[in-house]
Amino acid sequence: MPNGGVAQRQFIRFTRLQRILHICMIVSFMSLALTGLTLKFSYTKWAAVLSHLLGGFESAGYIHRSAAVVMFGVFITHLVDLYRLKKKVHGTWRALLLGPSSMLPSRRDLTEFVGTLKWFVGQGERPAYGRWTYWEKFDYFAVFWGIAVIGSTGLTLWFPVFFTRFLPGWFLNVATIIHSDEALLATGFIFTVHFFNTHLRPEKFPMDITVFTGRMPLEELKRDKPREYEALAASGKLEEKMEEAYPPIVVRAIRAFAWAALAVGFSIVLWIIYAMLFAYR
Amino acid sequence: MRATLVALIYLVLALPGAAVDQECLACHGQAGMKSDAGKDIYVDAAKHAASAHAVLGCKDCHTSIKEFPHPAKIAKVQCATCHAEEAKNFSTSVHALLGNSACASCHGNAHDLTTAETLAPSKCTECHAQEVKDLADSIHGQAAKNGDHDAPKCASCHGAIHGVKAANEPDSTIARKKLADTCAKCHSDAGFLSRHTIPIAHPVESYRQSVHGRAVALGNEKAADCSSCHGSHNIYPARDAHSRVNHWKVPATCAQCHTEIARQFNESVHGEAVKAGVRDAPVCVDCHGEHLIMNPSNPASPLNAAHVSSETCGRCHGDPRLALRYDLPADRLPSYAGSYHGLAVEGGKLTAANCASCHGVHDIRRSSDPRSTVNAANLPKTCGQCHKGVVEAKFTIGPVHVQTGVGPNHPVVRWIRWTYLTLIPVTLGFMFLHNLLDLMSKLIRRRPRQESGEVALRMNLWFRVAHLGIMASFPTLVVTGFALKYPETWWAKPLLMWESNAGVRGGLHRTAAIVMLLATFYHFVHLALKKRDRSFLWAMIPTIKDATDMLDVFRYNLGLTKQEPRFTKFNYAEKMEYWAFIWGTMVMALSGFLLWFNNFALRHFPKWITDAATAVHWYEALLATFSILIWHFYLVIFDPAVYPMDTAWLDGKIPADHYRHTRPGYYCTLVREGLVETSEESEDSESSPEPTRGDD
Repeated sequence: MPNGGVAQRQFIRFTRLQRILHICMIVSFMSLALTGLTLKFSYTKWAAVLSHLLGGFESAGYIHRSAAVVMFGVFITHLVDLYRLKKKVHGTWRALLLGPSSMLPSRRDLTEFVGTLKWFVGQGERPAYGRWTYWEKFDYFAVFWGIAVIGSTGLTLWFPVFFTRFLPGWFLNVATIIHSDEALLATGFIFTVHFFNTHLRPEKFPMDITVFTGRMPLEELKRDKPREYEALAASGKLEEKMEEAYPPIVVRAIRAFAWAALAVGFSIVLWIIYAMLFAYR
Repeated sequence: MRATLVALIYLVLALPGAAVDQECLACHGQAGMKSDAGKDIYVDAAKHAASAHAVLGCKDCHTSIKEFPHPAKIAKVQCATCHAEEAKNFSTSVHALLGNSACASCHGNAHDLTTAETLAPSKCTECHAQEVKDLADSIHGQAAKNGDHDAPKCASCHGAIHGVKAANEPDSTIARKKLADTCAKCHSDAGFLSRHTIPIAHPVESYRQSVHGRAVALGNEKAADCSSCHGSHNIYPARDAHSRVNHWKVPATCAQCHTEIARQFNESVHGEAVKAGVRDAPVCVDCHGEHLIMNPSNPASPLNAAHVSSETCGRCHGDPRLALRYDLPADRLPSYAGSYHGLAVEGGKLTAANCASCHGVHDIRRSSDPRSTVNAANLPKTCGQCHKGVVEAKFTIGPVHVQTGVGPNHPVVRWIRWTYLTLIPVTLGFMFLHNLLDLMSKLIRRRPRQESGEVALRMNLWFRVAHLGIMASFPTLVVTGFALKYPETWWAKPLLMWESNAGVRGGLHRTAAIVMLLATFYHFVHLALKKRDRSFLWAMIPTIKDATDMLDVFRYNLGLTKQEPRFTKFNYAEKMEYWAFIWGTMVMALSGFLLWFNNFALRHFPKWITDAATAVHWYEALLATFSILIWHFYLVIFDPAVYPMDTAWLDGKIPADHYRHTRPGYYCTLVREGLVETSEESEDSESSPEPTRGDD
């Protein structure tokens, strides 16, 4: 905060519900990853220590399933929220899905992706991104994919007797492999690519707390989402979307939480790297 | 079958002949009737009626007799007239040597002929007494006695009895090349094997792929067939003490052909244990396998250099149960596996020593035995097989199975281990905490980067070339070095692909080592030649101020003082890294050369020097790798002052703002030397259009 603590009006990027959902998702995802990986890498000393701390593999399993329920809850709440958003703000599905703040990938994302690649190698300016950049859209739909694949296989493993009433037995073996390796992919993706985008990107380093406060400084909006800013400024609606920044004490609490999550995430990455390099079976 | 048919036809046609037979019997039915030549021509009508030929009348066979009384000389009746098929094969059969009366030798007189069903084996006994007795005692004979329908009869193996061939005839069913087929009729049948609880999988198929089976197939007349090991008529299951393949009989059975090897084995530590009745001691088949014995050069053989140590020797010598029972040293296998020899073999370099290279093969003896290849007196010769030159030299051998962790180590090796095991966590822990504190403190203060656009030249081309040399060689050394230590990991595999043909991994490692030494050497040549750059060394000398600087940084980062420390050209972190690098390179080079030129080292120094070099090289590598990751990468990447990267290694330039602030003296020198440019002059070298770093 450049002007040191004086409450300043900031641009609202996320609603309160979205912020809560993201926090729930962090907690459930971290719990799922930790408890799941202790099982996947059970042959490493680390896994044994960790599962002991969690109360043994049995209780790690309970934590895993509870966290999964939270995750499903987050997902369903988000879908319901989308429906409400459609009714209240956009009116039609078409407006929601094809409007400027849609998460759906568009042709523009492709040109922005190519433009970004060119910018990486010093050929041309950085594209003027809109509300959602292509990598944010990718992150968003990666969660859909993950919930579908890991969630469905997880349910078959949770309720094997029920599912084998109509699924062949070999499906459980396949589900085990899919669940385990897709989860490793998801964990690796979130803790490297997503973390890079929100923590290691030079303009974000070491942390971007917009998703927790819901607010971003106007400077940042101009720099990171110039197209959205232009549109809002042109329509004169920008002022509606500004609100006072949180007091420093709240920001500090948020930062503490974010740092804890970051530390857990990077520890898991180090653990995965260690397991993959020296112990992978 | 055909004979039965003929007999049936006669039965129908010849019934009227019964009256004729009465005429014949009028004379021939008198007991004791003899021909003129004194031959017994009495026919016992009762016996004939009970015989297989009962349906035949006299004239059915004696067709030459047309009238009564018949001439004194009548044509001899030929069995082949009716039994053409049996007779056809019979002339080539081994039983043809019985001559004209061959049929009668088994079947008896034609007038009171015994049926085939009741002949064997009692009739065979008359000539083949031993074989029939052996068969009766054997597992096959016992099975027959117990009414097992699978039990083989003579013909099951020897073929139809009229055509039976001697074993040395190539087309005999028991000829060397054919015997496996004959045994396979039952012993390749999964149903048969399971019915009789014979758990050995595919015995015949395995045999066919073995050295023995292949040699036989190629026509080797001496190579083992089934009966060479199992016996022929006297086959017993291996559990039976009579069996030639019984555990305790195996050495003697193999010794039939492998005489010299068996003699060596019997004198070996294993052979002696076998003689002493130690059930766990290996006999031939425990190492070589049974039916599927392969040449050790075959990669699939359990004796192949790639896995003889782990799969064959290790099966017993890595077994904690046996180690306890026989007080065998339990560290032999892990110490070998962790040694250069073990790691190189695991990585595919089969010329590296395995267990047998040093301990021998069949003639393995305990090391206290003066004849043992690993007896202290013989070690120079044994090691000299590979390490040329150690034979002549005064070769001081120390403990061989050295595990850096445990076991009988030289005190120096133990001392090195403990030093490093203390040094590594302390050093890395210090580095990690120091940097974490620095990072957190910088983030909390969140001082926006000054962006005056001034850049200063910090690394001129000479320094950058040296850095590039290190940058290329260091990671190569790390990867190729760790690949030796972890040959089983997925990332080491591609590096170790060519290991059996060429030491690519080792070659790369040593090439990179030379590159790294050359880069270091080049650095000092540069300092020697360039007077201006020589000040680099003076600036690098650690001073008391560095120690106080470090304490000040800690105090500042902990918020105990508001006074931000100021540094000269190099701060303590950079000096520590530089001298640690010089020290590490020297240590790695010295220990590395001792390992590279191990023959030289073994010739001139006691073995513990090599062991110490191995330990030092490993621990120092760990320390160096993690130091680079934690210390260097923080200095040049993760430090918020330089994030995302200090690009001085590319263009030599650094943003001057940071230095103006923290190293004012150095900044002034840079300005004086004309090494500071404003951004206008260096705009083209700025690749990032980001004006400021986000501080939210």
